[in-house]
Amino acid sequence: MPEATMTAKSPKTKARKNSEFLRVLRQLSKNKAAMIGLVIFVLEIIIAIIAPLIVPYDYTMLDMTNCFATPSLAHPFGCDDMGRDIFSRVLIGARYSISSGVLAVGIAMIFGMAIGAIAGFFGGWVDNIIMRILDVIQAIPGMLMMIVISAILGPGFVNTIIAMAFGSISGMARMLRAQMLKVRENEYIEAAVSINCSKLRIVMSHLLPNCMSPMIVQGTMGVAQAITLCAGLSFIGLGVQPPTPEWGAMLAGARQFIRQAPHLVFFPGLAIAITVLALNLMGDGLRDALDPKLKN
Amino acid sequence: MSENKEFLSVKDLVVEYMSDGQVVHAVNGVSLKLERGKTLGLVGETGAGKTTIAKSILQILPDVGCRIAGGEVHLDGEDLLKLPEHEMRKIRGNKISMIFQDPMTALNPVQRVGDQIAEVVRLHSDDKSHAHCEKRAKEMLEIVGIPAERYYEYPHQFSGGMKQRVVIAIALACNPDLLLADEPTTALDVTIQAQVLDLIAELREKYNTAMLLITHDMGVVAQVCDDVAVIYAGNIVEYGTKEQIFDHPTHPYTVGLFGAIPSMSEDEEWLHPIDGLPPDPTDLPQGCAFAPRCKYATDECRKGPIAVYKTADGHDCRCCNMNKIAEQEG
Repeated sequence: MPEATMTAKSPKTKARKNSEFLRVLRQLSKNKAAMIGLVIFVLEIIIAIIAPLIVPYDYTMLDMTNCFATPSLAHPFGCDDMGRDIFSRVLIGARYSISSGVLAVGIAMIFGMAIGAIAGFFGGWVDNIIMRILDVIQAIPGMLMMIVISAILGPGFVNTIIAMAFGSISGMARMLRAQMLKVRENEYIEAAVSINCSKLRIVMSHLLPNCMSPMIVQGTMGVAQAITLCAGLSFIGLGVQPPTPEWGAMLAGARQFIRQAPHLVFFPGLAIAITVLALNLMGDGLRDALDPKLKN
Repeated sequence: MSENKEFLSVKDLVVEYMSDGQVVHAVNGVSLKLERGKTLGLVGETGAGKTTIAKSILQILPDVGCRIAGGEVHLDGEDLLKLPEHEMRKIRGNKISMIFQDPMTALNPVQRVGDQIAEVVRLHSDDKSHAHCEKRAKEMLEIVGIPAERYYEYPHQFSGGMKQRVVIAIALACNPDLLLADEPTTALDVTIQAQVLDLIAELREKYNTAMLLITHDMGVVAQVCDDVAVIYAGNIVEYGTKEQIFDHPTHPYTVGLFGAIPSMSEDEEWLHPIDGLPPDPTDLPQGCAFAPRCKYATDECRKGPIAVYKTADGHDCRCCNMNKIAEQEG
C-alpha cells in the first residue's frame, strides 16, 4: 500500500543516511576474493608506511661477507649481489612501487577527467578537437610513449610517474567522455537545467558523481597496471634508479644473476605479483558492487 | 486591455531541429493563451511537438541543432525569447518550473532527495544558508505527503509515485507562477496517477499557479484542465474550453481521437485507431497536415495553409471543411 509506506515513520532512517556508500561496501564484503584483495592491499600500504621502523637492516647497507646469501633466519629473503638485505629492500620498495602506481593513476585521473568532462559536456566541435588529439596520442603504443617521455625527462622517481600518468590520460578521458554522453541523456540533467543550475554545477554535482563507478574500477585496475609498467620502465633502466629499491629496479639489477641466485629476482617479483593480483581482485569486486544492474 | 489579463501568451511559435542536414519542423506557428490559475491541456500524439512547446517556453531546448525560428512568448507582458540569458535564469525554476515525465530518471540517483529539493531553493532564494534551504525542503516534503525524516534518503529507496511527489516538490519549492507538467502521470500506474493529479490540483489551488499540462490521456484532461489545445504535427488543430472540445469535437482529428477511446459500456472487440501515420516532420504536406489521413479531405485541403475558423466564442478549429463535416455527421 503506497499510503502506508508514505506515512509510516521509519525509526531506522538515520542509520540509512549514507546508504549508497554502505551498500557498495556491503556488496563488496560479500565477495570473498575482493575482500582478500582489499586486505592484502591495505596491509601492503600499512607496511609501506611503517617500513623504516620495522626493517631489520638499512636497505643501502653493503655487507660483502653476505653476497648472494640464501634465505636464512638473519636474512629472511637472503642478500643480493652487494650483500644488501633483500627483505628490507622489498619492504622499503613497497613505498616506491605502490606510491608510483597510485600517484600515476591519480594524476591521470585528474587530468583525464577534466579533459573527458569538457569533451563530454560541451560536445560538438570542442569534443571533436579533443577526441582527435587523444586519437593521435593513443595511436602511439603506450609503452613506447612512456619510454620516449622517460628518455626526454630523464630517469627518476618523479619523472617516471609523469611519464606513466601521461600515457593513461587519454584512456581515462575517453572513458569519462563515453560515460558523460550516456549520463547526459538522463532526465535529471534536463531537470537540473530547468531549475537553472549553472553548467559548472551540473557537471560537478550531477554528471561527475554519476560517472564515477567505472572510473573507480578503472582506477583500481589502473594502479595494478601502473605498478607493472613502473617495474617495466625500471627494468629497462629508464625508471627509478639504483640504489632506490623499487621492485622493478631490483629485478633489473638481479637479472644477470638469475641462474646462480634466483632468490634475487624471486622476492621482488613475488611482491609485484601479489600486489597486482590483490588490486585486480579488488577491481573485479568493485565492478560487481558498483554495477547498478546487480542492485537488489 | 486583454493583454494585461493574459498571464502567458505564446504567439506564432516556430521551432526547428536540424537532423542530418534536414530541417525537422517540430512546432509550426503555435499560439496559445493561459490565465493565472488556469490549466491548459496540450493533447496530441507522440512526436506532435508538445514537449518542444513546453521546453521553448522555459528555453531549455538543446543548444546544438535546435532553434526557435520565430514567435513570441510573453509571460506577464515580458517577451521571454528576447530576455538575455541572465534574466532568464531568474525565471527558470523560480517563476516557471517543470515536472518531468519519468520520475525514475528525473532524480539524480547519487544525491539525497532532500538535497535535490534544497538545491532549487538555494539557487533562487535570497537566504542561501544551509539551514534555511534544508528547512524549506523538509516543508516541501511534508506538503507533498512524505515525512520530513526521509530527507536523507536516496531516490532508489523511494517508489515511483513517491519519486514523482519529490519531483513535484522540486517544481513547487519556489512557488512558481507557471507549472509545465510534461506527462506527469504517464509513467505511473492508475491508482498513483489519481493521487498525483489530486496533489497537483490541490497545490495549484493553494498557490494559484497556472499550469500547462502535456498529456495524451483524455481522461487526465477531463479531470484537470480548463482549456484544451489539440496538437497535430506541430500545430494546434483545435482549441477551446474542455466542455467545447469534449462535447462538440469539430476537427476530424479530434473526432478521431475521441473515437479511439474504447467505450466502457459496450462490449468492443476492436479499438478504432485513426488510419495512417503522422506526417514526416521533415517533409510536411503543403496544405492541412492531417489531410492524408482525413476521410473528408478535399482538393482545397491540400492546396495551401488552412485558416483558423471560429465555431463558438473561444472555440477555434483549423479545418476548412468544418461546416460540411458537421452537416454530414448531423
